[in-house]
Amino acid sequence: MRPVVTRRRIVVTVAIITVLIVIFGIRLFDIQVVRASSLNDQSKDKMSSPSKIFSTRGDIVDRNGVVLAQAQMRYDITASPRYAKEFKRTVDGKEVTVTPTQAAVEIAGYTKQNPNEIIDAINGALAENPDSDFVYLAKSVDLNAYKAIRALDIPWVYFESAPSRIYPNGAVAGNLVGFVGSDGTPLAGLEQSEDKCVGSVDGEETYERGAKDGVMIPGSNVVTKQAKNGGKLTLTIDSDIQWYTQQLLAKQARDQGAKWGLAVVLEVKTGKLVAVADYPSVDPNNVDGTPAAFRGSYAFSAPYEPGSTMKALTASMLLDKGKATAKTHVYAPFKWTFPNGATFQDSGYHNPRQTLAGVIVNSSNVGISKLADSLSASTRYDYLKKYGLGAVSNVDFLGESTGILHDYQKWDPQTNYVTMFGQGLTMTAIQMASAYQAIGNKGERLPVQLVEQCVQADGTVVKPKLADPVQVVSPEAAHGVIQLLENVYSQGWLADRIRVPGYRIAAKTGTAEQADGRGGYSGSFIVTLAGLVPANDPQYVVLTTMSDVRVNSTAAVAPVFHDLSTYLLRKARIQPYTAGTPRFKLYW
Amino acid sequence: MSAVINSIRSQGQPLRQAPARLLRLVNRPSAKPRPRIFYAIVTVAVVIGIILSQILLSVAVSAGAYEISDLKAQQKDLSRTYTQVSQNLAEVSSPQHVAASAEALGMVTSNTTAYLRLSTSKVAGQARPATASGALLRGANGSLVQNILLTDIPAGAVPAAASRSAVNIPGVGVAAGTGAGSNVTLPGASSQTIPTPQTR
Repeated sequence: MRPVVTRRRIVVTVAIITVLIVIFGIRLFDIQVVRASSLNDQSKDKMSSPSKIFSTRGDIVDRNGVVLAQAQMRYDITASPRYAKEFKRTVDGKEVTVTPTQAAVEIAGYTKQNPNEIIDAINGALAENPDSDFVYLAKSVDLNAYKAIRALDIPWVYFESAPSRIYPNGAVAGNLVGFVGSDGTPLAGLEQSEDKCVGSVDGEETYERGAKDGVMIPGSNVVTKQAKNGGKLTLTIDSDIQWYTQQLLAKQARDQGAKWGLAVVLEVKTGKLVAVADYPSVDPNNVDGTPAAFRGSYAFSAPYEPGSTMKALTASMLLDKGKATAKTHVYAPFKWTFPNGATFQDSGYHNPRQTLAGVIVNSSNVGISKLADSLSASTRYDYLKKYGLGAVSNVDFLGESTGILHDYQKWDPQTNYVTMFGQGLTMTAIQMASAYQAIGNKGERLPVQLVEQCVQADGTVVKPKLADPVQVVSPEAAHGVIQLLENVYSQGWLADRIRVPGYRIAAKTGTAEQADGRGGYSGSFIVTLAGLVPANDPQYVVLTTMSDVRVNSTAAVAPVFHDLSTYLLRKARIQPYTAGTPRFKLYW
Repeated sequence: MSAVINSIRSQGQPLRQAPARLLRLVNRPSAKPRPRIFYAIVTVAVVIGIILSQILLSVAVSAGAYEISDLKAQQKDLSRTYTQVSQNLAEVSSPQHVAASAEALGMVTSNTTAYLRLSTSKVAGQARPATASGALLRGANGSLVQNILLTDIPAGAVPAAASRSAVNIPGVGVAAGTGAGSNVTLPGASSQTIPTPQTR
């Protein structure tokens, strides 16, 4: 071989390789950089498929971890109507032809539908569009139905995951928990107001899959959007007490023919709500089963004129300002007209020579007005504000009402007096329970709490913001009021019906005529019993209210108050204690 | 000396070519040159080897892909089953169901409370026997706290829920056959009376 030839070959080879490298390089640059995005778009549908990463909405649990609301996967069954033709299936080694009608009957057997519904759905879609490729056959079927229908292996039937919500305890705390719509939108209660805690965001991923069997090609998985799971919301509610309260309330409300009723149990030492029962109340699994007006919580949203339960608050002002003691005398006849023209009467005749204790036990409007006349309107207004009237509670429940507390400068002479015994202003049951909590807690009102905490998916614990406690009245004044209310329990006309043998309890009745909405009163009443259990060392505020009851007196709610108090005393294992029960003289 | 060399170069004579050629002509010491075919075989064998191992590797990977896909499907199924079964459990442990079941067994909620104080041997509070009229639910339809999930689960019946959740769990031998569908008999449930403890 001659060297010259060799060298020429080398030159040619190198030249060809160089040209090839340059050509490939240009091509590579063209594909990878110049046309990259358009080619990626073209390939996406052919090779890889985006799919949703379902996130899980957080649980709502009670104070003991009992699940009140939980995410649940349901399945929508869809079909491609244009392919809804007969197909072959192998049964016991033999080929059987299955017609669409047979398939529909099979599906309907699991979805508990009428087979005609399925056939109509398919035919309807075909009538609209002969090439129709999509129709819903059944929505939100459960896992067992989904598995069974999937096992039927009908080639034109498809499935979609449909995240939904389940409430294993039904209406227990349903008034508070609320519910979500069929598309997952939170529509009521804590589901809506605490959505930032329990709400979740679906993610998205793409991966390449085999053309034939759809199996994912390893390593091709790209998460384009991270899913974010919801947090766990813990309530201060005890689901057992909540259930008992709801059942007891509903039973009595039915017997009394009440239009609505509610019962609240509030922890005195912490300000935490243990039970908030409403009647009627919604089963979040079956929202349509309850009229729209009763799908929330009246305890938070429906303010009413509280009536005589207010007298405990007025008495606390008198004691706090040193204007009266339990023994203070007052001449309070059945009916009285003040010099400024305000006039009103008591609900029943009694001895007019009463002590403050007598005024509270007899629930004398005239008596409390004559005594509280020593307090200026602005002083009483300030106390009422401190007791939490005219503002939403710390819970800030969805749709919570502030009630109506007009500025004292706008009170006319009549209003000036009737506010002393709970008319001319409105408040919610939660506000009243909160006021009684202050009396039970040595005069200090704690922020009302319904949410214990939220534990986010990453483990972060978020506690609700709590307002500062408010010292409304002195501990001595609060103690004095409890003693007055103990006399209602032991000497009042309901004493026999609410007595829990072996225990000291503080209680106050309230019967308020309801406004008719036209500036007058309607003749129907709201009756309330509010109290502290047990009185010697208050642990719970118990408050129960009913509207439009048959007997038109607090006797209607007495069984609820009695049974609920007994239940709480037993459940909290509170020792019987009767030593030191005060018994005041009511008359002079 | 350098002056001499410079003069020679300037004359354009190729001074170095002569000795280079001389070196090329010398025979190599190796007596037996290797056949070129040997290199060709080695190269081709290595290339084939690489291709083969590449194929085997991707076969292994894609076999793994099927296994992963199977296991993922199984995991999904199992977690669905777990959720379903734990929800069924939550349903039957709901207070409505527990209360209805207890009343079906003839139990009544007491609405008195009392304690026996051991130090004084006295009863604190007042104990009265619970009466049927004091029952909180009053009958099968007495539960007023709605729960539509319990519609198919009769009071006192745990098995109804258990059979509802009769799901075949792939790869797990224990589940279905034993628990599901089998009647859980509560003591005294059949005779609807409260069992009497044996006294000795």
